Amino acid sequence: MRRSLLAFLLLLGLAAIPRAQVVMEEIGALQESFSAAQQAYQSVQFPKAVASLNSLIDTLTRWEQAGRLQPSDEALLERALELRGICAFNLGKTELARQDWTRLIQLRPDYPFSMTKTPKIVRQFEEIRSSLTGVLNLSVQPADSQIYLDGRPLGTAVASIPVLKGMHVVKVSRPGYAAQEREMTVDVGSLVAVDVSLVPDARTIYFFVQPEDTQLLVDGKPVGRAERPASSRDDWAKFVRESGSDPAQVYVIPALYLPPGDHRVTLVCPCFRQREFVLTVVLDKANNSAGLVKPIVLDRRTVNLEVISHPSGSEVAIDGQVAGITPLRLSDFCIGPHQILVQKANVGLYRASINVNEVSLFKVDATLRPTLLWAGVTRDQDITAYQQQTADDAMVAAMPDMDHFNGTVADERNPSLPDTFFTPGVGVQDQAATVRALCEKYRCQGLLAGKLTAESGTMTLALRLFVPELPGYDEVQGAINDPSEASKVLNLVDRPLTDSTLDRVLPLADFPGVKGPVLVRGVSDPSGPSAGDILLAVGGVPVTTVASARTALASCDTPALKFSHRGEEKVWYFKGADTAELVPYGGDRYGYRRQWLKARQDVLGSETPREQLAARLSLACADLNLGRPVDALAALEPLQPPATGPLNKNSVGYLRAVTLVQLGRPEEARNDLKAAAQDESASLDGLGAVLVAPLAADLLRQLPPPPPPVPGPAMPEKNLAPKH
Amino acid sequence: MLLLASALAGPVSRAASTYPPQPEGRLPPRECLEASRLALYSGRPDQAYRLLLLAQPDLGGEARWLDLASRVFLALDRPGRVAETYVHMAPGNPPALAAAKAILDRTGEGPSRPALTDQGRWRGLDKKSMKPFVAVAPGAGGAAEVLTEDGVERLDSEGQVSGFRALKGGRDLTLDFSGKPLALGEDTIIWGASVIKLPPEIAKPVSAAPAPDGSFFVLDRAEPRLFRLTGKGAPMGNVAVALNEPVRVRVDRAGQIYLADEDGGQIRVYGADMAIVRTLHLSFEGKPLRKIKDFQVDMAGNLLVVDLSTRRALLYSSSGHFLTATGTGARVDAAGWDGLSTLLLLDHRAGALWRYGS
Repeated sequence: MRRSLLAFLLLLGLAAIPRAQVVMEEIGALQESFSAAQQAYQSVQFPKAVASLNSLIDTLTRWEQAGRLQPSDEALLERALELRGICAFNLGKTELARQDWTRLIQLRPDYPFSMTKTPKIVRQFEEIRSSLTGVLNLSVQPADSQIYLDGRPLGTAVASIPVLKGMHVVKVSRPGYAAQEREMTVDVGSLVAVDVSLVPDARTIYFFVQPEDTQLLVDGKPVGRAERPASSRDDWAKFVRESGSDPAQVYVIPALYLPPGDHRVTLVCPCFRQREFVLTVVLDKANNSAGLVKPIVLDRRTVNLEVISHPSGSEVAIDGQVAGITPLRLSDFCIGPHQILVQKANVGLYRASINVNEVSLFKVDATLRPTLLWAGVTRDQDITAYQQQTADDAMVAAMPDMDHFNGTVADERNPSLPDTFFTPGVGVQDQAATVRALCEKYRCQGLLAGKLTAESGTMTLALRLFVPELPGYDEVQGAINDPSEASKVLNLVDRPLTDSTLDRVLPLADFPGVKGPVLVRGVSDPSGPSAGDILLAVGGVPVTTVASARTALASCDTPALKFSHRGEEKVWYFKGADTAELVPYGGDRYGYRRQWLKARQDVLGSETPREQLAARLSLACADLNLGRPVDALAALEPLQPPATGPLNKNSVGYLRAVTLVQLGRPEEARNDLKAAAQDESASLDGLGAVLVAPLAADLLRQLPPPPPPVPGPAMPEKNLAPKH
Repeated sequence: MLLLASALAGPVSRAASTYPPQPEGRLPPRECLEASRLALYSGRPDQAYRLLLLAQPDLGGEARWLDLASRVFLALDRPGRVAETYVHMAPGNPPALAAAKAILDRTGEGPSRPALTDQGRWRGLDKKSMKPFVAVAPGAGGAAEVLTEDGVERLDSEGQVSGFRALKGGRDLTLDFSGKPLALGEDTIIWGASVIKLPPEIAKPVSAAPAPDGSFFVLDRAEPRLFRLTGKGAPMGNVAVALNEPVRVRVDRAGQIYLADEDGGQIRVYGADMAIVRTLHLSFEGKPLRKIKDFQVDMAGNLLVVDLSTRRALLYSSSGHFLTATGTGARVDAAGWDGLSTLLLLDHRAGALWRYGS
């Protein structure tokens, strides 16, 4: 049964193809027939013309009866009937002519009989029309209103129109007016007058504004722009002049057909202060004249814009136009939304949408960041395609919003691309080649791909980070309740290397009986707070507890800290640059490639010796963690660290010693380790949290014993024999 | 002679490695922590520190990591870092907060260090019954343990005797790391509820101290020698002590051993492997202490010393820097200290047990 049905459908489909072709051919043939009939008619070969038209009219009649007649076919049929009637009349077959024209008028009572101007024929046709129709006399206000008869548009300015006997509906409409419909019954030979006067239901308002290109929004929707000067029309120019403005300087924004009532009007223009007000539209039912709003002049507002970057010397492009090199200061910069791009070759870029508001100096602090490419998400068999797509959508949406990386999305028409990075069968070399190619294509420093899996009802998203210069990948995993939460896992990649916030640099504790949070650790700066001091205020905000201190600390970057040291109140300014983002040891989920990317970025971007020191130490740690001691040594080589402070020569010396030990050169490391083991202040993180001395002592103890000194050449024995 | 690590120290950590924490060469975090503990109690705090750092990214927020970190920093003589770890342990742990405050009060550079001369409540005692008192230690809830020549008396918070356990020839009294008293007699030790018979080779025990791993040390003044015994009294080893008049032994939370020399006015600090870490020559008002009778160590390595030449209880930092001392109001014969805020002073002449507090 099913096979029979399929066969039938197949035959039907096969049959439909030639049928469509036949119809097209038929239409072409009908047009040719009509053209031939016209030529015959013009050659006064009326029988030949009639013969051509007979088959044409028969075909179209069949189509009409079958309900297949299209508007173009209908027009052809009308013209064919007109022509055959003319030919028949000329051949003396007046009855045949009457039949054709009768049918024509029934098809279209207002048919414009135009193929011949022979008075006798025209009179005959009009007599037939008069015998079949009545006339509607239309009087419409406004005159340019659109008129519809029984749903068929008649156009505008129609004075009278013949209609068949019966009931008819006339509809009149015009923008800005309430449409009206009239029903009337028409008898043969009757004259029915139809008077329609439309009533306004909206009003056109003209806004006169300065400057040119101001955009008008009504109720939040864009309506138009100020493009035409008021001087382009006399009535506008007169109105503007009477308002005390120069028509050549004022531009018009028409807001067509605003309904009556209150409307929220907004005028916006880059560089100018936005204007908002409420406009009440009142209809002019008598004249429906346009409303004119007195000229509105927007205030020009600009600010000084300062763009600094880390590193400096980066190119700045604003709204697609090159603006200069950082540090950059632009005066007379327009307020409003702008797109800013700061980039430096081989370092990275910073891209942001800024909304410049009215301040004396608008600052943009751009830290150039590495860019990660999102290659998509794959799935296992327990994940549906919809879940996969949802997770991918969530990641695509989250990538541009990362805090520590720029994010971009691969536009590759290869649905199995994410599989490349998870399928065990794909070789490491193939993966690396794909990563290199994509990172080069998209100018990215790393590639991120994900896999969504489900096991025992728990959905897990794994993200792998590949870096072209490094073998292997970092992987982070996170359980999610819903694929739309995929971006939560991205946070494991997009997190700071270490928490170098002030809260961590200065750990605090609430001790019973002490009025204020106590600083548990001091800072290396002698003028700063010491352990046991009491924090009194942060950035001018008094603090009484750890909680209030944390709140205050979180709200400012370089706050002034007021503290009590042995009963004496002091103030110290926290400097974020005094801390280093450095992690010598990472856990399983830490992500050494992530650290390497960031550290390399910092090395390229650091400007001060202090920043360079911290960045290179961090890069050396990352290289050591990735088993690249040669690269770690190269990262440390250019450093000239200070002799004192938490990050000093012994911090560098220890890491250099580690690389030498890993490279099998322990004797070259021994002196560095001895010095580092004696340095109680040196740390690896700049915070004093990762001490160098015990690490150096530990490594020193593990070195093989030093080789024995090489004995010098043997002295020749003197001949002590007595001389005789 | 049986010496050092193989006898006195615990098992040496096998987790030796160089720096690189490469993923394939790294111990799992929990094994790192255990290896760190072993290294610490084997006298290798630097190695313990490295292993602690390796475990930090995964376990750094856990109480056991913090507890071990506080011990490692103690061994590394970083009292500030010890206080910091206690602060991290403080949420939901008031004793840890109190410990952090005590450390910062004593060693921090802030203004809040209280002097021991701040006199608190005191309690008069029967002078006759007090005479044989040897040592004192604070107990829980304001109570106190008093060691006499005959046994250990428990005083309630009102100073009334609420219990007694016989101990012949009472010599030393101290608290273990959970606050339980450990009392040394002529040939017996009472440690909490346990009564431990000392081995016969210990001829003249003068002091005993619990170790953080559950063992304890006994100082024998006969040769003199330092014995290490299991928690049940089985000998683990012993070592000769190169001091003229060793009078007290104490062990801190990191397993470091402190020996006081009554004659030399010094306290010598040994690592858990009995390697000398430092020697503290203590002085007061420019003069060296001449007769150290007793001392206690707090969680940051600070020392409360009872000196009979000055008749004071004196507080020193872990590096031997004088911090503060009791005044002349009390003539100190013995002192009991919980390392935090409770200090009991025994004054034979006044017939009083003074209680100091901050």
